[in-house]
Amino acid sequence: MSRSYFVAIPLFILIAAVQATLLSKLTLFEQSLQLTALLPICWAVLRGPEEGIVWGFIAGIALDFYSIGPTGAHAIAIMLAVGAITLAQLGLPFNHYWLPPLLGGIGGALYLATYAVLLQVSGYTTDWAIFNDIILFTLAQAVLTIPAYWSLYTLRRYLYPPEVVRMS
Amino acid sequence: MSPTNLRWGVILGFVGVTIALFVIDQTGNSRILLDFLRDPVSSVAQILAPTADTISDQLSAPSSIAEAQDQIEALQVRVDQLERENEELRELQGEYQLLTALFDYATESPTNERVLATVIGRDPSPLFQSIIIDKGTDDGVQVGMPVDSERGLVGQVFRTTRDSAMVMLIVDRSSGIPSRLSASRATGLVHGNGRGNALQMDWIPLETNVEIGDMVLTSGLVGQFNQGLLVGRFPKGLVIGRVTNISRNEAEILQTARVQSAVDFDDLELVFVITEFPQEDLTPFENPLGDQ
Repeated sequence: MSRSYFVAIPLFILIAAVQATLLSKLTLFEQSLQLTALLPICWAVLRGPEEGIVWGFIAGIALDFYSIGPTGAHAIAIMLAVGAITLAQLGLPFNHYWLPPLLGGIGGALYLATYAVLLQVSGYTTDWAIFNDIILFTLAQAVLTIPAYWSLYTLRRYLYPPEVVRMS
Repeated sequence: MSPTNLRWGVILGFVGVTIALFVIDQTGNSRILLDFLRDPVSSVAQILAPTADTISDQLSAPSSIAEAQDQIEALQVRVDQLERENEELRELQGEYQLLTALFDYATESPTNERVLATVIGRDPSPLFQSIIIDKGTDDGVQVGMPVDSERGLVGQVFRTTRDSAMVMLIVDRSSGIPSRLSASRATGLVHGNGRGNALQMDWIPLETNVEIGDMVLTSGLVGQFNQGLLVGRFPKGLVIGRVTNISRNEAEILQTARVQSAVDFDDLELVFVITEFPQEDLTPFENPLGDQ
């Protein structure tokens, strides 16, 4: 089992609490900031779909503790977004500075859309009006991806330091 | 990482567990699985809440002198407006006192028991309008209990842990409140339209004369799940808001009204959970045909 999974559990308990207490009061372009959903997407870009999906599961369950929505819906939405983003990544240039914000923005929007569909399926009345500003929402998540991605980039270097090859 | 290196068992395992949790939740049994985790997790939010408030206040403070100047000017306009409204309210006060005395005489004051709770968080999803409060089952809070503030009805308890609870706000689209117009006594159902939007009162009979400014109160009638709305049970006479717009079509048998709540849902800090209120005796309806 990857060591990143053991980091993810306390990380997402903390991040979900920060999202419920602090980030829920802050907006960018008048849109909510979905940091908890963005981190698994960023981690998937860095470490691949397997770890991204496991992070998505942990992040989703952590979010469900603070939400009145159905249990598991956040996790399904984030895992699907992670899966879609890693598939899209296969067809894009591997290493480009605009890639993380692009994938973060699109992934955030995919997560929200999937979650809305799941709520509708579960019998909740979904607030579809939020999708009137989906471009601004995507842009807000893209901007938030920049610090989120580079924080996780640093974490990856700490968890998986590059191997040093001794030249004889 | 190449797709061929993926451990599909791990991915499918987590996807399977998530879908199973979702399905279990749909059957109403997720409490058994996850309640033991909710208490420690909600404690993290309680610890973070005061720090989050401080950071939030600092981040939302004016970042420059020019911005502060603009805010001062806007506030001055607001002060002038409020002073005008204050004068109008003084005139109404005398009339209000008389009506209050009559009202107190005519009706028995409800003996609602309340628990004061602090708002410690909000729903992380923008698709829901709910808050998290610092009182739970240990304080007598139970699912379905109404929540109000000094400005009017706030919502109802949706989920509880030992020391916290989640409250669905009345502005949530899934919320439904059996309500009554104070002037005409006509009943209807108030439901939310999302934060920042006015509430909507439906099912008002067309023959009812609704006027802008009419007070909307809880009717005290019992509700149940109705077309996706969680219709709760509330004590009679709680203030929901005032009618601001009426939509009336002679071709229909019902009319709707826009209702503005006085509660600032973005700035809620303290709320009351109504733990006990007088309820109608419904036992005759449990077995309407009697024992035959």
